[in-house]
Amino acid sequence: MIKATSLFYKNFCFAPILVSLTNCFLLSQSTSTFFVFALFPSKLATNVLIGFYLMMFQSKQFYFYYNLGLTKVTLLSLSCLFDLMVWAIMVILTIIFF
Amino acid sequence: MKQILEFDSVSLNFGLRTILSSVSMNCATGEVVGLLGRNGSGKSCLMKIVFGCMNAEFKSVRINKSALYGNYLSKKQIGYLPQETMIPSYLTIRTAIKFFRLQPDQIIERLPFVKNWLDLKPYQCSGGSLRLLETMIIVLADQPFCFLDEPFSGLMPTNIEIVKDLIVAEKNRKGIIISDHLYRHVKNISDKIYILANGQTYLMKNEEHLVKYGYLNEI
Repeated sequence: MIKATSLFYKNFCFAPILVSLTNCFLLSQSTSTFFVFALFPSKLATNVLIGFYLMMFQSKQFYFYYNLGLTKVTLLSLSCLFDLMVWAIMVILTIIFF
Repeated sequence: MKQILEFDSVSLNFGLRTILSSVSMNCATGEVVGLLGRNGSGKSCLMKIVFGCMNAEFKSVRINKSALYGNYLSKKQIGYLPQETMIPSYLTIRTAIKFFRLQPDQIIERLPFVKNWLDLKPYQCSGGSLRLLETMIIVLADQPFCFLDEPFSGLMPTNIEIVKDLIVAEKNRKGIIISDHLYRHVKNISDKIYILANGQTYLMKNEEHLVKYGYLNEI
């Protein structure tokens, strides 16, 4: 399950990681750490948009995962969760080092 | 041990249009069941609903009299070959095969050309041969039941024979439900055939039923 989900995430990880990096850059430029609370909804919104894009334009690939026993909801929510964890780690490191 | 997949009361509407109305079918391991019907009769929808990736107004699916509820995809009891290409474009053929817990050699012994394809992506392979490969993966995978939605589409005659031989060989351990418009091939390998018409399934008793239910103009 983890292997298949990570494979799914790797397919589109460029976009969410780019968003996370942009968030970290904006946070490093900001004077207040509380700016992170403004960034979180934008990160969540971009994840929803990416999920919507995958469902609309890459829906055929889901059959492969269905056959492996993974539903669309499982794949998208696990990927989103993992991406938010990566975002949180990047944000914490930005706060510590910048 | 013989297993049996049963589904009934499958109902699906698209707005005011009824696609499936209380459809019932069954398939046991050791059996090939054909599913024929006109374009738009709901064959693919029926397969997707029973497979578990599409919602219906109502359905009752059982394996060995035990009902499957909620998200039963994770139980991996049923495989499904969709009409479209299934293997994602970013995977190599080797990786895709391994995800189904199959060894490349299992495929290569039946399809020698796959040896040169293992490190290719699906879009680098020929469409017909990729269809053949995907059919083989679904049929050889562990699930005790599988749905094959138009497995013969795009295949040359010799490859159709390979798929038919594979299905006949593997039906000893699997229940296979197959739908394709090359109905003579479906008829050759099926133990029984259902016709989907007017939102319901009818067990085909003779070829005249194909005319009666509007699948053929004449025999």
